[in-house]
Amino acid sequence: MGTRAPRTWIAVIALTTLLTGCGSAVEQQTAPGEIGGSVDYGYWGNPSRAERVAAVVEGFRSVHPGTRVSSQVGAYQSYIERLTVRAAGRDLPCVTSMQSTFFAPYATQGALLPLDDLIADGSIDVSDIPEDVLESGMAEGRQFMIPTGSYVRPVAYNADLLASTGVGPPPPGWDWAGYEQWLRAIDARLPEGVYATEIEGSNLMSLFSFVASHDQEFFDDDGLGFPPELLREWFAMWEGLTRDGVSVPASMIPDQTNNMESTPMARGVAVAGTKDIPHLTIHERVLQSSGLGDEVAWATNPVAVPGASGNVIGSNGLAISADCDNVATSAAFIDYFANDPAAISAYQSDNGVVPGSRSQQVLLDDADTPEGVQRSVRVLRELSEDSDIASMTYPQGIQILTGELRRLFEDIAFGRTDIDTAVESFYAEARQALS
Amino acid sequence: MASTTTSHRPAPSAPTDMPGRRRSGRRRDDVAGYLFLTPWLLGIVLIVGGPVLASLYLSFTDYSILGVPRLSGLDNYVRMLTDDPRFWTSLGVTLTYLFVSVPLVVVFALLLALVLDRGVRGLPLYRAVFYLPSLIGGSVAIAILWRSVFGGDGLFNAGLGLVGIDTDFSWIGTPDSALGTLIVLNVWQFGAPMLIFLAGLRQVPPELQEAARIDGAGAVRRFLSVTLPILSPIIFFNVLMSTVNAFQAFNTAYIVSNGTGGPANSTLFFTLYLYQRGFTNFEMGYASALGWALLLVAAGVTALLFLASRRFVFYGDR
Repeated sequence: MGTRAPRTWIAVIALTTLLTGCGSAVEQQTAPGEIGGSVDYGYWGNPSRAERVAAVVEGFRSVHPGTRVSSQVGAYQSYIERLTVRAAGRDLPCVTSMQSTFFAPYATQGALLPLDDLIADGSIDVSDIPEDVLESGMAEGRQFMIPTGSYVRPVAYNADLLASTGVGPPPPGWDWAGYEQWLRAIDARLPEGVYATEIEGSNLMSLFSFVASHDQEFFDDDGLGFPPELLREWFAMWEGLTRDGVSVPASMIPDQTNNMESTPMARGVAVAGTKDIPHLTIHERVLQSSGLGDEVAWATNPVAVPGASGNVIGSNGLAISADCDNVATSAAFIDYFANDPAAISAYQSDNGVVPGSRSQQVLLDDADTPEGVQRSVRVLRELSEDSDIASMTYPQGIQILTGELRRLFEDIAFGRTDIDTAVESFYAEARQALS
Repeated sequence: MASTTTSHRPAPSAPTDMPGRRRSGRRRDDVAGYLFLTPWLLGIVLIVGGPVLASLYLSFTDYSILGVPRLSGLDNYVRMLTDDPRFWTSLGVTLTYLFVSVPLVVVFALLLALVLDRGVRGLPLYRAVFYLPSLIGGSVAIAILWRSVFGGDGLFNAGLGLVGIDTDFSWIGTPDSALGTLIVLNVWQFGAPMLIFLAGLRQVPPELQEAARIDGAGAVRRFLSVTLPILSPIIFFNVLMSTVNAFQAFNTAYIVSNGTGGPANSTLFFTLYLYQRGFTNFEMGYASALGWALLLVAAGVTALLFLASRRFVFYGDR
């Protein structure tokens, strides 16, 4: 009997410990509206970005002593996957990095806090952010994300490889017919195994550009806002370019979405391809390191209708979780991140070009800003000053369309379906995804 | 205590008291035992049983993971069967993978086990070497490596170049061959079934082999009439385990295709499709229905295997 009782008690204690261990730690609370205490900040990136974030967090702490920002970083894909699960468990970090292409479902389903009141009372200053960029963080008429980095995908090309063909750079104000002719002219002068362009037919961002350049809305209240003929035209153009060997073969589509060191353009296998502005310099560096070229130049996307633009802007930004218990500090952190010159200099537009002109100037004036970042700022400024940017709001369901377009184009390119069927499938899937 | 009683009641009362006390002691032991088991029981009920039942419920709902589930009856199942071509595509890919790779794994593992069972020198080393792919084959690193090996400028084409076949054909980027590369990767992980076969071959009674030899049976006849029947329960076990693994295959297709199941849906395993619906498209209700469909298909295939085993598996004691 003397040995049985302790055994029972050990079991009871073990069980109690296990169950109480499931509870969460008590955190220090601050009064509502008061900046202090701790917040979590979740973002995607790599070790180099983590260093920049650490510098920003340190700067924030020096401006707001007594605050603590715990960063949580993940690779892009796993970050998004965890985001979904954490949002379902009402466990999003107080400050959560979002992207214009995927924040909408979180916003419209109550996982994010509308920021309009915090903007109105001056907690978050958005005066430096252009309207069309700010719009990319809106859903259902409310602001859920503060854009801190913008991206546009112009046509990039390996200037040295292009020069070797004797074909000139794209003319200003070119249209899609001119674009196709340009690619075919390049292709005619390239050696075997090198192609005029990467495939854009499977890329939703490129389709956004195509539709915007026709002065059409991609989305409307009922789903897709552009006529099926445009999609048919898009598929036909890229099917022809792929079939004729002007673009890289369809089997290289996966290479285009892998890391930037292995894209066909970075490997010198393709002359051109659309690239986010910050990626121009990255591609340039890869080409230089392998001796395949010195310069990656860029041109605006072709335009189908005068006055329209094919340079669709998207943005990465910061949002606040609807379940955050320290909104004041979260708002202060976002405001610091988006506006404070020290934060702008420390972060160096690591995830998209900082959209505000004052912030851009900070980077241009800072001698420590790398040339690649300064170039990105200049490119975005140039497009903005020329009013050659198309704004866009992204409804929920974009992720589905991204995968669907790629699958359908692969089906077409590998002869597994025809263009009309693919167009019908895309519209059917969009109806379901966007409803 | 009973032995010191002064009661006038007859002695038999003592034996009835003793078992009672033993019973109560045993009960205390049982309680302690169950308390020690509780963490595991909680785990199986909350972490496995709970979600399984929850997914059954969710399969009858429209649930976007971020919102509240709304009952939708059989809608998800009707949609799956009548209005979702990718459901059938993914099922086809998984069954193709299953029916091609499982026989290959089992046959390859058995052949190698037969070779190693002939008493080769350095057997432990060979066993370890051949088992290694089973340990690392399903890893993310190997999947990434596979993408490079079978790419247009990968090692496989470089090897073909050495024998005079120059090609830049992307085995992993072309629908007709992409699934084949994943099957090769699965077959490469033959180590675990091979070890089980090796153990099984040691159980084949030498006297039976000897008797067959005396009766004039050659090596092939002895293998077919002695070794194979005795090994049949082990073959059945390996087929069963490989089948279950094939139904669960996910990592390699996810990594190799960047999570798309491409090119052109050629590597869209059922598990990957389920994942896309649940975690990319936020259709958790539909993904739950897909999960239950997979369970039913896997249960059906397993049941067929058990039925077949009655005819083809030889248990010596029956």
